[in-house]
Amino acid sequence: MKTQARLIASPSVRHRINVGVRTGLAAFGGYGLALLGAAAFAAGLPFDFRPDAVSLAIMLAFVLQLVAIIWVFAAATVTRAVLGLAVPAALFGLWLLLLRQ
Amino acid sequence: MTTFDQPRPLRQSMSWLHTWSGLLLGWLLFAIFVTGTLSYFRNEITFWMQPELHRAQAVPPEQIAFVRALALLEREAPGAQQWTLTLPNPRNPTLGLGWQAAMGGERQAAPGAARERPGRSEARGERGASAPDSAAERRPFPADASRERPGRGEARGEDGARRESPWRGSGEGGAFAPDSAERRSFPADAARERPGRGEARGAGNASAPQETRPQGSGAGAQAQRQGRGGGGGGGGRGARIVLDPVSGDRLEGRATAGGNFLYRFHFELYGMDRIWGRWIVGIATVFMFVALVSGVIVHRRIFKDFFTFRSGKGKRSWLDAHNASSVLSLPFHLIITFSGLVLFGHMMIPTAVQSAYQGDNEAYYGAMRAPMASAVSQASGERAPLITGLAALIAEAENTWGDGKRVGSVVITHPGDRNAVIELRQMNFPGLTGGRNIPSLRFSGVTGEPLGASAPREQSIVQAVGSVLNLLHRGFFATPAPRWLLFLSGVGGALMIASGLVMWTIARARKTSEAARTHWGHRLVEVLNIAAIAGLMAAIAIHFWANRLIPAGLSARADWEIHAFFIAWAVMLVHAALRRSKAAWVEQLACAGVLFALLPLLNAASGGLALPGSIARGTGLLVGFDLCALVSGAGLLFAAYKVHRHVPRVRLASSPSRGEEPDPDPGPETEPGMPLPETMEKAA
Amino acid sequence: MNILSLVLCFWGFAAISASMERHAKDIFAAVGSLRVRRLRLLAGYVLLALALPPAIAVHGLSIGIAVWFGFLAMASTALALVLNWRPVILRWALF
Repeated sequence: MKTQARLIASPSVRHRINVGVRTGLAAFGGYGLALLGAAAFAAGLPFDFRPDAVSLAIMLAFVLQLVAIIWVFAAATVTRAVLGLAVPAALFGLWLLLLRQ
Repeated sequence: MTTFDQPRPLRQSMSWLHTWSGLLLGWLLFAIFVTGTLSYFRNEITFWMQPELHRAQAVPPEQIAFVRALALLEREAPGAQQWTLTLPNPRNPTLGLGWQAAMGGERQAAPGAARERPGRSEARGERGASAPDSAAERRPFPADASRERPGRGEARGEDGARRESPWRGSGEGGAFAPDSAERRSFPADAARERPGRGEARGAGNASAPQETRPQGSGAGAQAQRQGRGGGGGGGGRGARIVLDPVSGDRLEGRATAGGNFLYRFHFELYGMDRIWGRWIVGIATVFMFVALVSGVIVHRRIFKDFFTFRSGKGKRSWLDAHNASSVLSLPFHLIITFSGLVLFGHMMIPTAVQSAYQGDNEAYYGAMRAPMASAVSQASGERAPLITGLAALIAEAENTWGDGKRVGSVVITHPGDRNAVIELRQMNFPGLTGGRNIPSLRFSGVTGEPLGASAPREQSIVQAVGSVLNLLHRGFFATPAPRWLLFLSGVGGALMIASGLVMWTIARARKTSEAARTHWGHRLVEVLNIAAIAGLMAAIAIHFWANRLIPAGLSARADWEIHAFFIAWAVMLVHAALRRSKAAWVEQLACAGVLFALLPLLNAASGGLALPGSIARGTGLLVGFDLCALVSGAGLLFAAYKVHRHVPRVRLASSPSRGEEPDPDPGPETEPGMPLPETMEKAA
Repeated sequence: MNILSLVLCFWGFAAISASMERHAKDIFAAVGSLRVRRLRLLAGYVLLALALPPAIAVHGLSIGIAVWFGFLAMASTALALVLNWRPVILRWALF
């Protein structure tokens, strides 16, 4: 227990854990947000011709993923990184829910 | 050093992100960039790799032996629903013949095909007119056949090279079948999954001869992957039969995947399930995208250092080279990366279609294709002779278009029927925003009277954007200038990645101690750099050599050309691991340089049209290939020479008088435009 | 026309580079007054813009714009090499 505590306290280990968490967030969170955003855009964008919405949704999804990844590493703390993904994800989810109704 | 658990400037975190997203898949990205860049000239490469065809000479339509060509089609594919003649063009001087089976039961196997060449028969069987049986055999999902939609017979009747082209079907987005991620998308599946393709052809879309028609055969490549032998099929542009345009004699090109190997490698790698390959490439592309944008954020003096390149200053020069090759072609890098992602869009982001259509992919593709009204005429069942004066029709069409527009291909639907239609398609896409609509004129096949022009399809803005991304990525242009610009930009991108990779080791080596430099991680990066950069060049050169050294008649020779590439690459990796890094760099660069520089000689010695001959006859694509080989060879040899002469600064660091620090000419630029990879700072 | 467009791109970038202190020193051995350098910057942008119409004239609007970007990249790369190699030879083309 004591060693463990010291390990976590040591800056290099804390840095590594932090980087690991952020990497996971970037990989899965970024992609997840892209998938969710694409779903919302494809169903919700106001196009008469639905395939246009799909095409645009796909393009926006990749931009979304990029911004998410950059954000995850740019955010000052892991908490803010998570929030930066969670808030838009919640908004997209809400949008999808509204669309379904 | 960047510690992520403490407050740090944005540029520091972006620098970390840039370093690692660039390094982690950098070697793969370099290979993708190099093979992708070469793919801009894959038609030329395929043509070069079939020296049997070199002596064909592009001639104007009135000199083409249409009578013989039509007679040959009549003999080889009498019941076909459609014949296609691909006219000689600057990127392929031969006349290509292809056909599709009738939609009904009256399919005709190509009689002469199977006996021609043993190595080809299987591929031909697959690509042949009677595709359904053979396709069902090789597909794991034979039941799919029952889900056939109208219009699919057509797609299926196409030769494999066209069927497999991943972007062929759905017009602009280059849509992947959404469910293709779950299943192996074999050609006939692909046809089902992408219903758009059937009428993409019917509407006259996919017909730019030298562009949309992969040369040689993708079928060959795939057949090879599955150990089926069978190479380039008919040789040119997916045509089944290649003719000398003047004499009408049949030309038998050697079995080769040609430029299609490099082309397919750049987006689905090799030797694995293609879906896996595409996912790996897609993920690498995301890394590239992240590395590009984080690099821009990091590089705060982007305008001040715009033209800055200082040679002979060690690490500084590498940084300058990396910045210059990145920044000066930044629009290209961003577009090519983003369009690459969008081309994988339906595969990587399946939720878009799922959500918009509640999982009903067929509905999506149905909606996609609705606007493309296809006017496939019906056969009357009454026989009537086809007119023979194709050249006159072509002249008429070119007159109607004016402005130097040329006919690229002739598509004859229901040949021999009273309702036969001759469609003359333009050689090139008229612009980037029009999707894959290619203008065409239709004539009655019996009387020759004009039946009108293809209606240009209205494109929405989103479609136009998708079309621009798609066509730019793939370099669909009428004239060579834009293709060369894309090629050169691609070279710039390869240099960007290579300089970035090299910089990682240089930046690290300079400041770290001897112990850290021999650290296994450092050594690993070094070895991979050598094998991925210099080794890849050598492997590509050896691929071209293998094309000429493997006997033309050998069975499965097309496979062996590809095996030679990978064996050579593996040897380079082992070599890089065994030799000291500088020696390995020099030897591999020199090896690649010599092999490239000697390619023109090899071409002359192994049956190809030699450089003086190709210049005299104006066969520009061969001149271009040989000159490119010479220039690449010279460049690689120069690089080898520079590395050889290079005195590593690391060792000099012990003697302060000749060391790099402090910079003798600090100037305003001593503050680095881009912080160096923080790993070295950490190690310091 | 392709050549014209490419030359205009190069020329424009050369003028822009001559508006930057560091490169002005390399080319003219003197930094030059701020007014002159601003003029060069303006002239540079005008030249770059002038390179667009010829590209469009040859290739049509959409491909022309793409080609223009390509020319910009090639010209700026060439200029970076010239500035490193013999900046002085740019003198004759600039003011």
